Amino acid sequence: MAELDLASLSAPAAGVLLVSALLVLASRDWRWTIAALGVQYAAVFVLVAQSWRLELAVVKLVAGWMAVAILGGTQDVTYAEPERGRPSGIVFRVLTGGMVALVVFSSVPDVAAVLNDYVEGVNIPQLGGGLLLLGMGLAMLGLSATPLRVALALLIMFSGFEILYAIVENSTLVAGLLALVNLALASIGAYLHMVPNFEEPRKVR
Amino acid sequence: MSAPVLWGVVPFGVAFGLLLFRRWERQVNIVGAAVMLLLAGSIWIFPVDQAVSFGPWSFRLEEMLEVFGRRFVIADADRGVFALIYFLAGIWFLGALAARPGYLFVPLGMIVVVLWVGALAVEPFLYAALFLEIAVIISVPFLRPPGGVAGQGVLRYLTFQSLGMPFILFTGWMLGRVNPELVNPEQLVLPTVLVGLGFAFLLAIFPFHTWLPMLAVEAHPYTAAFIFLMLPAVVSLFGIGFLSEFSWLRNSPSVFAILRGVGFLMTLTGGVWAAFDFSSQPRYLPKKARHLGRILGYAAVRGTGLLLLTISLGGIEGVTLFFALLLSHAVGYWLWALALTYLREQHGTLDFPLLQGVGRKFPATAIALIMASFSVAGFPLLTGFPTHLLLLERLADTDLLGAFGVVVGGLGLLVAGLRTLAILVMSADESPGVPFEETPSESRGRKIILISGTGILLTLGLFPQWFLPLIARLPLAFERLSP
Repeated sequence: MAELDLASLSAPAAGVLLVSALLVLASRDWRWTIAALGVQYAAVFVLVAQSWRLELAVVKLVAGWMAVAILGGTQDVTYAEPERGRPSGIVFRVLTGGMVALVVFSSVPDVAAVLNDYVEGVNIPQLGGGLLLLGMGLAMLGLSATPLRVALALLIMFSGFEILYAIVENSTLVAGLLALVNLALASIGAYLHMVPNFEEPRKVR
Repeated sequence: MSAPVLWGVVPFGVAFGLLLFRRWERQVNIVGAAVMLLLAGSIWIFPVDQAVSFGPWSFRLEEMLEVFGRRFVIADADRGVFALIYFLAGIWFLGALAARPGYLFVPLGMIVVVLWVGALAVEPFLYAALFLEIAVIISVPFLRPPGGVAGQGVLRYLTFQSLGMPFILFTGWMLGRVNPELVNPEQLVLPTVLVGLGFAFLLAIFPFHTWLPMLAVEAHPYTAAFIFLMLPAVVSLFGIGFLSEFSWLRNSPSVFAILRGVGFLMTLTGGVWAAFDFSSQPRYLPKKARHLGRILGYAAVRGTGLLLLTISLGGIEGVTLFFALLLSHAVGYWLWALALTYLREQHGTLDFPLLQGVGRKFPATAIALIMASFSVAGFPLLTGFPTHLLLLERLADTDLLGAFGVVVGGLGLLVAGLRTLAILVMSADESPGVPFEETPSESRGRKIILISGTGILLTLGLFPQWFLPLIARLPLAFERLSP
């Protein structure tokens, strides 16, 4: 069986990141949002695998999909977020995401030049993808006030950071701790989303 | 056995065990507090890397535990710092018996404390950012326990703390790539800016401080005060470790100038916001939140500023003052949070308009609340005063602007305290609030706890020489800061 050539997939993966991040940012339907996040983690895996061993990079994919499952599993099928169906909000968020993408892609050469002082041979799609997710995550944080959206924004931002950090650090402990942070963030996002429905257990004196 | 296993892994396991038994809230609180205090005592007593005889047993605690190539180290010189963290947590968990802040507080609080200890023990120490982030995430359920709506304060707390982690990790990597002693100084600008941003997020430095007053309104006062005390303390200790690790950083005058500037800004603004943030009369400041908890949030902003000012003094003297201030804040915040808890429980709210005249019905609670806020402001004869005086003396020699900030910030907090006092003792005729006859009066147990706390505030303020010698060995962990 021919060996998987992940290097040739890095540019398409950056494109997938752009589309999926825009979808997460713009969509108010949790099904689309969660599905786009799942696709995004596959693209993150491809970019991380440019620097890490495949078996270590798979940790990102597994942890990411577990985070998606946690968030997806706690959604109410009858729930519709406010603003759903209003096209002006969607247009505004797509434009915001587009501007973030423009700023990020125009600044990639400068950032690569700065990073070259510290590390050799920076992979441009990797750098672009990482910065894009960081920017999209921050934009989403600025536009969100609900627990689910804040958790999603933080997860996207961390994905971007992890792509960039993978260029420079390949420690197993760090990989494990970052996976733990992702899972914990997804769990706490789900918890805060559901917390009004929880009840304290009956106390025993 | 290694010290990190005994003082890190074991309490971690106990905390998980307590989580399983969380329905037995009172018993869990007792066990949690006892474990924390036992750990504090054992760390204080038993030396590391030396043979120790304990009754018929003899053992030796190794200072290191290796996990996936990274090391957790509790060196002999660090014992004082770890003992202090466990001691403060133990006292807080003991108070939880009276405050009853929820069944998740003690078990999850223990996990959070162990993660903080792990953050300070891990080497390379820049991995601490990951432990701090996990601790923040785990602390969310006890700040927003089941049954309520997640407010903006909790979300901002989670967001701002999470934003700090990437900056610290990137800085660690950058500093690992260059030799700071030999490198072109221009290459150090980026890591310095990144680490500054990271600490600004983690320490809730202006303008990332907004979650503090919001959280003080949303969360139980006791759990919020726990975070307000411990989080800046642990992050500051991590920052002092940073200074201790990198000689170019501690020898850079601009770093200390930035610390002084930020400390000045936070002490000044924290106090001024506390004084002007509220009004009992909606017609004067209709858009302001009239909530007693917010003052505690602003006191925490000022408290972080004071901690930064002590660090900016540089050397071991600054670190010694840091620990003295931390201990005096701990006593003040503890009593303040307990009084707020009782007030909220007894009267059902901490909204100013509904608290008018409450001090007449609950005098011990009102006295404890006012005394605690005065102590945190540095009022004479109370616990906060000796450390404020020492800090002012040192700042007057080196940084007059910083001293001005401390005085004005303290005055702001005093004004807030006096305003609270005026509202609490207002006569019932002027009070449009809840009729007092419907609320029960203070129980004897609560009166004893509050009066004892007030007594401790006075005693430590009058006789600071009783506790100051205890902190003498704490700065040993940062010996490299000595000139």
